[in-house]
Amino acid sequence: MATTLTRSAPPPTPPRSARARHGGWIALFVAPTVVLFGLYTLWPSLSSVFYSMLEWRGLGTDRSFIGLSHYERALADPLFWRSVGVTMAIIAVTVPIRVAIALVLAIMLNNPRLPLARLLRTAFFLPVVATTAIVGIVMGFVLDPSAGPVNTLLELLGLPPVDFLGSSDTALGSVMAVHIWKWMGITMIYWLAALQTVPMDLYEAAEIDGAGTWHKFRHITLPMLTPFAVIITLLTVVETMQVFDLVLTMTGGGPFFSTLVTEVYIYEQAFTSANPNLGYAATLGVLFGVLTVIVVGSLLLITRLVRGRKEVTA
Amino acid sequence: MNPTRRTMLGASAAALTATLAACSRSSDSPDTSGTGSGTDAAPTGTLQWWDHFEPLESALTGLFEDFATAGGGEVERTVYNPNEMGQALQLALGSDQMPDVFSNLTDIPAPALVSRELVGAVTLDSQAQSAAADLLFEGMHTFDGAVYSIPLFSHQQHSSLTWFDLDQVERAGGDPEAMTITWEEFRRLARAITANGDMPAWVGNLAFTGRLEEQIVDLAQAAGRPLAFNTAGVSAPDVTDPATGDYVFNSEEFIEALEFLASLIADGVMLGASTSLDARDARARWAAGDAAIFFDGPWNPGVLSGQFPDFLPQVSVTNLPSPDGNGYTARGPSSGQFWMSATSGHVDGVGTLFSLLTRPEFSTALASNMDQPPVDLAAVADADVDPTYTRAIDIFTDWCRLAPSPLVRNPAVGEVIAQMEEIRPSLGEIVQGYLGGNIDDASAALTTFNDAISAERDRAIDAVTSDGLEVSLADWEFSGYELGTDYGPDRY
Amino acid sequence: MTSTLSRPTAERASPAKGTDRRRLPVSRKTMRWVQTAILVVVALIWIYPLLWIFAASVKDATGIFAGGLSLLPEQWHWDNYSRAWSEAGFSRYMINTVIVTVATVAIVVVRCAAAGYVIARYRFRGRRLLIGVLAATMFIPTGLFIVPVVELSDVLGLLNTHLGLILALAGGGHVAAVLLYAGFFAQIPKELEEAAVVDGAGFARTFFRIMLPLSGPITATVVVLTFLATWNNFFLPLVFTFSVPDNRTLAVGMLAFEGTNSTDWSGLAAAASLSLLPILALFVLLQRHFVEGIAGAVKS
Repeated sequence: MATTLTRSAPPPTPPRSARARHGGWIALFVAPTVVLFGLYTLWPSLSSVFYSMLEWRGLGTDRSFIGLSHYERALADPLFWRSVGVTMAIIAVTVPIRVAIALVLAIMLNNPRLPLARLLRTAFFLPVVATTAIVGIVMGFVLDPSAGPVNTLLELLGLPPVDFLGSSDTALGSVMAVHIWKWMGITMIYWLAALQTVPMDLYEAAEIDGAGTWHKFRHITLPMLTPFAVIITLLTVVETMQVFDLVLTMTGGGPFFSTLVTEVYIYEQAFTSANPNLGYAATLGVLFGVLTVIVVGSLLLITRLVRGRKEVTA
Repeated sequence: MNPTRRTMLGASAAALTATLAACSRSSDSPDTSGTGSGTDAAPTGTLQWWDHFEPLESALTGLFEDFATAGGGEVERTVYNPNEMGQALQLALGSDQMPDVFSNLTDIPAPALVSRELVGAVTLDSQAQSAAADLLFEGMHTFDGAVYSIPLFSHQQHSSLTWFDLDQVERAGGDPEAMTITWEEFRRLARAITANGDMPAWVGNLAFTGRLEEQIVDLAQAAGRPLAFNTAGVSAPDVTDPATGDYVFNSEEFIEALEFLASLIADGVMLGASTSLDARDARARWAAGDAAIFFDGPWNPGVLSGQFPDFLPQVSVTNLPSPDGNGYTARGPSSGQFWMSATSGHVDGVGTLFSLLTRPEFSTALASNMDQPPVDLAAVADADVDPTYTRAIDIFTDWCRLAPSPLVRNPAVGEVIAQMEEIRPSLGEIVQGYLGGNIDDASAALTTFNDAISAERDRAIDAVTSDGLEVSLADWEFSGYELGTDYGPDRY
Repeated sequence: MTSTLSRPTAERASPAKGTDRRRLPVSRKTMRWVQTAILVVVALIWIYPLLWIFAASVKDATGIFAGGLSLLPEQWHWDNYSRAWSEAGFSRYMINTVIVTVATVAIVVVRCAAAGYVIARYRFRGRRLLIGVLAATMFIPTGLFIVPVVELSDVLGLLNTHLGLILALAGGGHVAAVLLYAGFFAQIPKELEEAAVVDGAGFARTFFRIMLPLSGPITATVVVLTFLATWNNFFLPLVFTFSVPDNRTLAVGMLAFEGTNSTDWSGLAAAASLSLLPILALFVLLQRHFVEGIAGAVKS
């Protein structure tokens, strides 16, 4: 969204006199956002950078400046890098699946003549609304190795039971699946929105020409949706970087670090470690923020390059 | 509420404490700060009492009523979830809203609470003074002879009692009357129960690494490993070898204890879901009939009577398993639960309240909650409690002892512990990793851990001594201690 | 965007068409019903865990654990709801949550719409910088800002107050909302504004009487997304209510069901069900606008 905005045409320029006349209003309209944003986003970001250079123990209130030594430690911290790996793996796996499932559902549910379409939309959106804490508890039951329905089903199929959340081999996959389930609804809504921009008469014209479902999808829907795919994927990536709550309630990062995402590791360092270290937690936070910006930035760059090439070849 | 959980939560709360401490700088500016002055808190209004001991509702309400009847005035109690207690305190500290009395969940060692002037000394009445005389340790409850806090709970406890379903154990040929059990008998029983086919024998709480840490330490003690503890809580940095002062997590007894737990998995007697259960979930699964045996603390019947009353009559308990069935465990002295803010304007009232805490009637009321046992275990006999709770206390009376405490010998030890970075994977995580198959060589993992934590303590000692405190490895050595005996106040 | 607005929505377009129905009378209709049937089955599986929460809210602890996956309780324990509502203080938490959420949503809508409006339609010094900074911070994980935010609120004397909490919730982030509004307002034809000016409407009047009402779909989107985030927010309300338990919100109040040694699962499930209802109602109510709003935004 950000990119599309900055690339969109500059705003209409009202006559000079109008601008002068409106100066006060403009300031008034921007002020709340500038002030609040400065206080609650910019200032905390800068403070975090400052904290990251402090020796700030959990058990005391003393803070002393230690420069960049936390950064040295963080760059050599295997658990930090492991957590970054886990976070990236979650993004790499869940984002494409989530975006794809959501697209298929959105196309089906966008059909105006589909019975119960709105009820079904609500149903698929429902997990988004549910409180994460309780989702963690329910999923414990659903994925239970001895009595859960998934394993009951596996047993019926003659397959061995799987310890979904308790084994370090499967815990990450299980968390990914639940994450997709929980948040797919919002991506579906994004796609539904994008689909509103495809003119209905195009489909109708195609149907008159005898086009099948696949044909319509391939030649109308897909080309029209391509530009949105970038934005929707990006939004999904950003949302996925915040898997914190779900992981904390489902596995707490375990078993044996297998689902330790970066935010959980930072949280541990700051709040639950035997000897919490707020300065170090801030350092990890800053590094993670930088990594996020790099990931998102390079995704954008790649998209732009790919698009650019397409335009050239076309 | 059991020591380990408290320690763990305490640590997290302490973190937030610090977080918010820094946050509170603004209102803590030098000239307006009331810390330690005690003059700005007018002795008006009700006495504010904050704690995180939710199961103590009835016992404390009774205490406050007695206090009010005796003309002491109103007490307003606020109960916090343990997760929030420390955070609430620090916020209050920052904004000069400290309650008159609070429970110290923050895990700031007692000496530090005193030296930072966060807490004040109280005056006990003569009856309380004589009642508490044997319970108070200098450097933990008293400082320069003045009383600051009183221990409520006994050090004679642990969280690894073997709680079982009577029918299942009887059908498998076990002796439900036995107060102790050997490793061999436990394994035989577990295999027999599983073979009977109703349910797997044992449910563990492998997702709760803090509890695992506590259980491995107690199992190692029961296997004969003498250990020194700073307090009644279990946290790896606090647990050392009394003979040498060293950490001994890679000693034979620890490895045997770990292998004992692993054998339960190898025998196929563990409920599969154990790997993703914490203690609360595991207890519920056990109570719902998913498994026959569950290791838990003395508070188990208290929880069952509230949530699973139908199951309680089918339950009994024996001590934690040990190689020969005669394993002792020990813990350090129990620290004080309640402290008076240095800023409190109700010094006399708090003194009276703390005196009431030492009365036998309070111990009895405490016992009837069926939570952590009261300091005076004998009080349980007079309380109206479930027979299994009485049985658990009998087991503790016979098999739990007082360990020596480096912290009591030298309060500067607390500063060392506070300086130590956490070693990952932690002891509890190693247990989880080994039982879950992520670690193949338990001995190697424990040795790595032991080396790392030893080096970390050396570093912390250096840091603390360079700040001018006197502390050395010798403070951790207690040559005369034998597991199975009490290391009382007179032996320091 | 305007085209989206003026174009009939999918639902409205449908009845007008009937040509294909005549040509492929049975197969298409049957296909649709088959598709619906499949979707209904999938949807039921999809919401099963949520039905389970509701079922758990009318069971007792033994029923939850012994009943496993069955949705029907052996005995209906409606008392879980009364326990959650009165004993655990949920009536009060509900009021707090409503106050905090409504105020936060209102602030977010007004401030983001206002900022989006001037960013989209006026050139002023620092405009590019503002857009740049907003866009750059959109991707920073803000969940870790709790410490400085508490520090700040204490300096402002707002700790432990509803206002402090509302400002913290409404203040940070919400970059997407600003950009959504900016994208929308950028596409409104200039003539509309000029007509307003001719009618003698001033700056504020133009915005509040013409522009803001036009942005209905965007507002619906922002309302739902902000409502969702605020209603379920946990950490900020937690920290802001330590010393004043009476100010707690539902998400924080749920903690009360987790005791030291035990969890009141059924009470927790009842509380979760209760807190789910308002947000669900809002979604159903605003669903169509919501989709349109995002459509407009995505398109821009």
